[in-house]
Parts: sequence; C-alpha cells; structure tokens
Amino acid sequence: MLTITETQEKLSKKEISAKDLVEESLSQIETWEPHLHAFLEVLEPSARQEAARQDANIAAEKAGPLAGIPIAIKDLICTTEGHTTAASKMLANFSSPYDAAVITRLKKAGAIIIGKANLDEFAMGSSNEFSAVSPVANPWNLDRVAGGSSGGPAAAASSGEVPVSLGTDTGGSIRQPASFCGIVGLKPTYGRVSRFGVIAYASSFDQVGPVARTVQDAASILQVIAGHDPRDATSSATRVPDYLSYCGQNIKGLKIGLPRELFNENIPAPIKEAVMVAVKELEKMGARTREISLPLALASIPTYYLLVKAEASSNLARFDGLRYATLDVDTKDLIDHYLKARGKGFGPEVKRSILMGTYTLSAGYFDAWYKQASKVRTKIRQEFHDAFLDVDIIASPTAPETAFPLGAKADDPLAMYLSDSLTDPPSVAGLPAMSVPCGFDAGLPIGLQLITPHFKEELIFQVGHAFEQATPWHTKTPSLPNSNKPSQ
Amino acid sequence: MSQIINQKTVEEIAGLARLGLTDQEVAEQVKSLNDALGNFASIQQVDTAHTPTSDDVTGLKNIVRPDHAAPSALCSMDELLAMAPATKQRQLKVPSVF
Repeated sequence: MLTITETQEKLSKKEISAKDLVEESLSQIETWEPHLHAFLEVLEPSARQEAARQDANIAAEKAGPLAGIPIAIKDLICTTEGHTTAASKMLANFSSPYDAAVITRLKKAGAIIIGKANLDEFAMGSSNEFSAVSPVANPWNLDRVAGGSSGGPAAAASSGEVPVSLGTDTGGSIRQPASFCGIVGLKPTYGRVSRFGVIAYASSFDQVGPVARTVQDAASILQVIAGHDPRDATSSATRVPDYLSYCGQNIKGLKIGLPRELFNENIPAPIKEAVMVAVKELEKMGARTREISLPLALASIPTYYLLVKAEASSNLARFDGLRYATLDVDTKDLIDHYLKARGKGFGPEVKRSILMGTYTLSAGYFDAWYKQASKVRTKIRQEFHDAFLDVDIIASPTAPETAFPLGAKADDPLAMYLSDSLTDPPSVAGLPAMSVPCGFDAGLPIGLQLITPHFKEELIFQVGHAFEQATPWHTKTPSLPNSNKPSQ
Repeated sequence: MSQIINQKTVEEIAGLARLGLTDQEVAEQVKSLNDALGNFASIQQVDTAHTPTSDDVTGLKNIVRPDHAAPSALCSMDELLAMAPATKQRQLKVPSVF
C-alpha cells in the first residue's frame, strides 16, 4: 500500500496516474467491501471523471498538493456528490446542495472523493454498530468492531481501500477507531478546522481530522484542511504552520508526561506494556519522560457525556422529517408528524442522547447536571494547562481495550460510553490528540495517544513521525482470511 | 441503585423533544438512562463552588462580519425547492400546524 508521499513521487515520475489510483482503490473496495461495509456509497462515476481532470492537471503541471489522491469521506460531512446521510434513516435520501468547507479545500488540492464512509448514526457511538445501515468490521479481524464513530473511514484506510480518509472526532471518534484498526488518526485542536458543512453532534467539541496509514500522510491532509473559515465563527485564525517540515525533526530533550490516571488498573496489562515500550523508544531518541497526575482526567467521562448529549439534543432538533429529507409517515397534524418521524428516523442511541440532553438541560435539573459539567470542564482545561507548564507532550494508551467483538457492547450503552475513557480528557480540554499504532495484542492493534497544548499539532507530528521511523507498526497491513497474503 | 429517572419523566422529556417512543422503547430508555446517569452522578462530588462555567471554549470574542447578501455563497432557490417533497407556488408545503 502506497503512502501519499510515495504516491506523489510516482505521480511526478509518471510511473502511475490518477486513473490508476482510482482504479486500484475501486478494486480494493470490490475485494474488501463484502466483508467490511466501510462505505455507504461509492462514487464511481464522479471519481473516474475527477481522475481524468487530475491527470490533465498533472500533465499541465497545475497539480495541487493532493492531486490524484483517493479519499473516503465520513458520511457526516456534506458533499455535493452522492448523499449525506449521517448513517441515519432520518437523512437517507438527503443530497447536500453545497460542499463542506473541508471538501472544498480537498477538491481544490486535487483529492478525489471515492465515496461516503459508514459511521455510527449522527456520530453517536464507539463501535460503528449504531449505523442504521450496517456495522463495520475490523480489517484485522472480521468478527471485531472497527471502532466508532468513524469506523468506516478507519476500516477503509486500514484495509487499503483508500490511502486516507476524513473522519470527525468529538470524544475519540477518529482516535479510537484508528487505534482499533492499527492506523494513525488525529483530532485537531478545537477550532483548527472549519465545521461548516459538517453535521453537528456537539458544537463545542466536534472536529474534522485525517485517518491515514502514516503520520506524514495525516500531516499532509491537515495542511490542506486547517485554517480560518469566516463561515464557522468558532474557527481560529491561528497561523497554520508547515506541518510536514516537522516530520523528521529530532525529539531530543522533549519532555513527555505520563498521567497515572490514564494508566489505571482498568487498562489491560498488554496495552500498558505496549505503550511503555513505545515510550522507551521515544526515550532512546532523547526524549525525557516523567509521571504526571491529572486528578480530574477520569471525571472527563461524565463531563463529556453530559455536555455532548445536551448539545446534541439541541443540534438534532432541526431533524423533523420535513427539512433536509422526508420520512414517509401517516400523520394527522404537524406535532404528530414530528413525533412519528423522529420516532421512526432515529435509532436507539440517538434517542437516548436526545433524552439525556433534554433532561439535563431542563428546569430543575440544569444546575446539577449541565452547569456542573460545564464547570468541571473549566477545571479539566486548567489541569491540562498546568501540566503543560512542566511537559511538552502527554502520552497514554488511546483506548482501554483492543477491538471488542461485534455485538459485545451493543446492548450495554454505559459500557460503550466507557470505551472513550482515555480519549475524552483531551476532547473536554479542546486539545489536539493523535493515535499512532504501537503494537498488537492477540493480533489486534494497540494505539498510543499523543496530546499537546492547543494549536501545537506540529509537535504531535514531530514526535509521532520520529516514533514511526524507529518502529515497524505503521508497515503492518491486514489481509483477508484465505487470501494469499498473510496479515503482516 | 436508586432510580434517577422514572418512566413518567422519560415520557415527559420525550414529549418535549418530540420523540415518539413505543412502550418498549420507554422501558429500555428508563433502564439505560438510569445506568448512565447513575455512573455520571459522580460529577456532583467535584467541588466547583468557585469555578466559572466553560461557556467560552475558544477565547474568541465579538466575531462579526459585514451584514450583506452574498448570492454566490447561497444555493439557488430552485436548488432548494427541488429538494422539498412538496411545493406550491414556489413555497414549501407541509402538514397543517393547527
């Protein structure tokens, strides 16, 4: 499987064309899709047309930085091609009249949208089993989940259906599936990437980010999608650095903090061991590590869920079975229509989210739940801020488990929520965080999470790339059972 | 564990949120909401007596722009009407409110 960097070299030497890349992607999709269900829609005709356009651009030496690169887009992000469904019955026949800001940027850079990737419905979930269409299987073991909510983007990139995907991350929805699928997944700083055209789950948490097979590839994507957008009032005007220039810089003297709360007794020993071996590799390259404490780290779980479900209950109020897409329900008046359409259009986790959010925002309960969570968020942000006075980067396992079996948690919502225990803390603080593969346990990938202060993604890339160059994990690729090639 | 939320409350909230739930769904949501909120109740032990809320997460203030129409940024009316299931005289047709 070629990385973006390798592909760009071959394109420039005319060893390969955009058409070849798209055909290879479509061929991989044909092989893997019956097993994975990573895609909700494959945009074959438009991808082929765009490949022809990109080949013309390359020949005329007008190629953009991602010219010819096939990319899968989480179906929460509006594209004018195909549909944008949020993997929900509520939006099953919705076609967006405009592209999200990130899509406009990717297209301008020459990337080719291969298809819309599967997800947990409205991004609510940690296994991709809440998709109204189908669960997504893990390319490393088809009986296991790909993770969520960006299970489709992760499975598509991990299997080689595409070299790179775009996901969204609210409390771990890029990082956890990246960890489960053995690839790189980045949640940028809140405000780094425009949310214009992204269906909102929790407006003060959501971020769009890359899912890729190498750190450099993730940096290539962030380089294109990051930056201020006047259509998103929460997007930051903070300068976008040259991220790729940090890949290859040494990490001597960098101080890495290991929060004891994120290495607690509930994390299985093989995961902690793999992460500590990874940390030792960083020490060999000159980084210095120390144990730190984030006493409120685990309070991030209730803080996160109380805030995001409240925001979600508000964000999903617009979906009434009339706007955006229609639901066929037999009704006598408008209120009856709302009740029946929303009852029919939303799955159980979305309904649970709306109920929880509505409850915690309602009079008499607001102070104890939502307002309290909002205050604890302030404290958690302050705790991270104080920690970063002593260290440059924080490392932890990405997830408290490897990919669990399909169906294992589908009937246990609380267990599903607790999958996010290690990714929630940086989300609550709005910090950038990335998962990089760092080993295996019983054939299932393990992820190392790297967290930096706000708008310091370049440091994450610097450390992540250095780690990659010293270890083999990013070269491992899954294979289908009974194929000629073993997983390696 | 004592119940934080009961069937009557779930039904009331569902009404507020315009969510039509079957009796079985109500029963399932009562259980799962109690499990979740029972776990999340630990947040009330955190001392926040002197802590402000985090309403402002970006630090950005007074984000304004000139108020002028930008037709190039909008979809055409025809594009939007084409998406509606029912229209009449270039208006959206919906079930009666009253």
